[in-house]
Amino acid sequence: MKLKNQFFASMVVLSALSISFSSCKSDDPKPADEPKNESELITTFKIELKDSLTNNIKTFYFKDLDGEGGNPPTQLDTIRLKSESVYLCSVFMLDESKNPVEDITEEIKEEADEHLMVYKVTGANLSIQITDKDSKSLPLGLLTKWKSGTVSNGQLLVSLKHQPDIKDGSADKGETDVEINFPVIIR
Amino acid sequence: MKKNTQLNITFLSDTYSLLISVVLFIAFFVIGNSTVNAQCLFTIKGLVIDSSENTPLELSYVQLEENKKGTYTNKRGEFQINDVCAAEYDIHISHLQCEHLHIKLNITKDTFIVVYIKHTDIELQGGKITMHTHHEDDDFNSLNLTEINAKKGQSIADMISGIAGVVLVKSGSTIAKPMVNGLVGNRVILVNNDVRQEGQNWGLDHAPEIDGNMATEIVLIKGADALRYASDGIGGVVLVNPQSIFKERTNQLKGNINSSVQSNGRGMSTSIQLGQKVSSKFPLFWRVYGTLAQSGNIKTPDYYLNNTGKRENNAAAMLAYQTTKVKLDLFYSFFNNKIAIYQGAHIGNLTDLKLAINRDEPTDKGFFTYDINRPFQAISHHLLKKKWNFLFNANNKLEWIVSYQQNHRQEFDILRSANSSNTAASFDYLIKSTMTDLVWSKKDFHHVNFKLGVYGLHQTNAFSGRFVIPGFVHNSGAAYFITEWDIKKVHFEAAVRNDVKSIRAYLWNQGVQTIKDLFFNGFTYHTQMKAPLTKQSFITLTQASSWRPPMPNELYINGLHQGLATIEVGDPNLKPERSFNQQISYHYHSKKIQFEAELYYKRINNFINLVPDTQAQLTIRGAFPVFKYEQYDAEIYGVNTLLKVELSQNLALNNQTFLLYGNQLTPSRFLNQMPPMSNRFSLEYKVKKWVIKPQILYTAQQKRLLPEMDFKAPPASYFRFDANLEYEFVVHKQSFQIQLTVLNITNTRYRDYLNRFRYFVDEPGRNFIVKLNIPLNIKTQKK
Repeated sequence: MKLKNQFFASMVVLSALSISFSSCKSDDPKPADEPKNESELITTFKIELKDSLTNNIKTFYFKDLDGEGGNPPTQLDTIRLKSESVYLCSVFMLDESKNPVEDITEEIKEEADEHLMVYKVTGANLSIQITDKDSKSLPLGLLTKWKSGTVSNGQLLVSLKHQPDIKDGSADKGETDVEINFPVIIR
Repeated sequence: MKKNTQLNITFLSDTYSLLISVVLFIAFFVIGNSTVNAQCLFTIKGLVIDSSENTPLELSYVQLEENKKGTYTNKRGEFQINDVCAAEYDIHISHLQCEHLHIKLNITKDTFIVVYIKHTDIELQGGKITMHTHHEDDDFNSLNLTEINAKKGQSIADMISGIAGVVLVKSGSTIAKPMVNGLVGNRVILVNNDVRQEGQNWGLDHAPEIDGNMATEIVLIKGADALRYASDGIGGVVLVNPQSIFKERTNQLKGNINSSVQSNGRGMSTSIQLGQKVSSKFPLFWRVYGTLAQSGNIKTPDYYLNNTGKRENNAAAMLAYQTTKVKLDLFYSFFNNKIAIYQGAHIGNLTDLKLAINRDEPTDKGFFTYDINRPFQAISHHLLKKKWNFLFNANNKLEWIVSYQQNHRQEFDILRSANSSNTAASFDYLIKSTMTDLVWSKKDFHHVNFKLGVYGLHQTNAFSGRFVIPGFVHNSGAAYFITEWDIKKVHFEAAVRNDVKSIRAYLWNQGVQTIKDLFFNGFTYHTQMKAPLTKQSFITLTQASSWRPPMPNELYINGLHQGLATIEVGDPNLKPERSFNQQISYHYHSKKIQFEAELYYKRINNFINLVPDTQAQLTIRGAFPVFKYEQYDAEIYGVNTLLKVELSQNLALNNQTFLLYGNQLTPSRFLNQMPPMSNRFSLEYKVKKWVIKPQILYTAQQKRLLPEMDFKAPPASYFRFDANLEYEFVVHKQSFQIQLTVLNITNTRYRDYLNRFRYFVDEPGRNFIVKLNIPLNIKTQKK
């Protein structure tokens, strides 16, 4: 009987210990903690246009500071261009939810072989030509040359395609990381 | 100089057993020695026999009430008490699973008695209180060991899907959840080894974290007893139980090895179980389990599915001790898996989704590998349980369960950069649940059995990563009363339960925290009547109502669902669901024919459902379709049937039909994600030690859906042919089983409406599975 009691006592202690032990780990996250978001976001897309005659720089933004879902985007600029002009364009992608702000453009340059920026204009008299290339001489699209025509309105669809191992210059492959439809006004 | 004397002995039940209506059959043989020895030198020897099986009953405790001298019977049912004085004794004979006996015996010489006691298993099997064996021919709602063994090595959801009315909701070929009569997720409660499974049950791509290899009993509870486990099991409550650890009677080391290999995905799985009673005298029991499984990329008839491998390792240990009055068991299990998610279903945006949906085949034909890349899920689940059973007497029992579960789920999305140093999970959920359940069971109280219980839960969910659902603290308490009785041949069951729940959710929006406090109080009941119609048939009528408050995911989810390129938005104003369930089932069982049918109608008020919203949401990846949680009244009704016919001694046929309709009532339209009609037909042919079982599965096309309710029309109907070949052989008195299963014999291309990856790819092609069951009976040296 003694053995039995001892056994029971030790079982109770053991199980009580194990339950309290496992539920009190202090390094585990708590329900009220602010969620740490370490995943990669693109919150901001920036278009920088340099007028080839005047060297004036104009910038246009798309911003959605908490990424997809959650709050709606906070900024979507209309791209306003002069008619019959030539612009040199650079695009930048940023993660402004991080501190300091992360420049995603650098990362895309490093992996140029897996990425392609695609520009599709509808309605407006605008032609866009990719001027940069990756290591395999396929277009990349971070740098472009824009030629505007007569006065018109339309849309510009900018997308970033992620095409690991499958990049061959075609636009309908891979996963879409960015897709923004900017209104375009040429005056 | 011995002579046999037969004595008439009066026996008295103890105070509680006076209520026992069952009369015990007892016989005594007393073999005495006529010579009188010195006063305290007598020996009482004896044999305790289980009257129902006529076998020796080990571990019965025989005690002389006067001087508390006692001993256990050995495995031959024998006992011996030495140094007994000459006197009249009240001998108390007890066995955990038997009625207790008191015997008055006048000891004047060495005495030998044989006691027949009725071994009534009052262990509440499957959590049911059963005065009679109601469930002996109830194949409908449960899986027996043979059926379970045939599915060993598969996921727990696959195993449960053998029960009538259960289908699988899949996310690709590696993730499956059971759907019971059209309801899934939070509405189907899984009870693993007495403990309600608490993980991130809400997600359709969150498979239950239970190792099916441990199960020897799987039951869908349709009776009043379901209310013991949950009030919110609107779909159903499924019990998954391992073999009772107290079954062992000897100290032989016993176990088995289940091993399987399969051709598709080149999968292998090995599971081992080993346990024993420490010694035949000392009632301490232990058992350990372990499972290791791995598979690689799955192949459809035409192409491999890239990144569809899976790895799983599970372990469990049990330790138990029993006396005549108390049983204690400790259980710990660890479940750990890593599941790859088909890469082609990881969609960048709506344009990508449309492109993928319109392709007949994926652009990438894939290749075989065991490697698991992003996207994948990594899940670990710990369960620790302590269960006390206090047995006051055969009719009076108190059960106390305390458990702790910790579920850690990590989901890893595809990274934008292949060279990224980011190894963190995109989502990380940690849910911890501590539960207690105290239940008093009383049998045969004025011919009524009842259970009275209280239940408590404290749960915390912490979340990090991209915001999807908030962290929360959830406290819940409940009290329930379950009863059953018989009036003539009609059996009645009834249960009531009341739950209170409080939830505090922590919402975050760009560094700003909002706290939401919610409180819910709900009442649930279940009534059931079972009446025999003829000697071979009976009907069961059920009327029940359940209640389910909205959970934090339905209230506050707000985020992108990468798998389907949708943004899911919760509704913080959702009210609890209330269901009313009417069911009638008919059972017929003759020597050759078994037929069961159930017809049900479920009305669910405030049914919470995820439905497409008319407005898309603009993001940096383009516009995404939005799915919102909405609620409205709904109805689900249908019929499940089972027919088994023994055509001859060797040949039997089996047919199961499943038919279900779901409607939204306000405004009236179809419910989405409802399973289409299906039928499963099989033959079973036995020759000597061989069993051959071909099977045809037919699944109809779901036509009850409007085009705007889905991205793509539901897949066409399909037939699938499977076969199973089983052979049993004996080596060294041990019986081995070997099984060959072929799934999708014809290598048919098909897609299933309930697979969320139906938009992108076909179901797996032909698969050969070979399984071997090796029993382990290791002789241990006598101590």
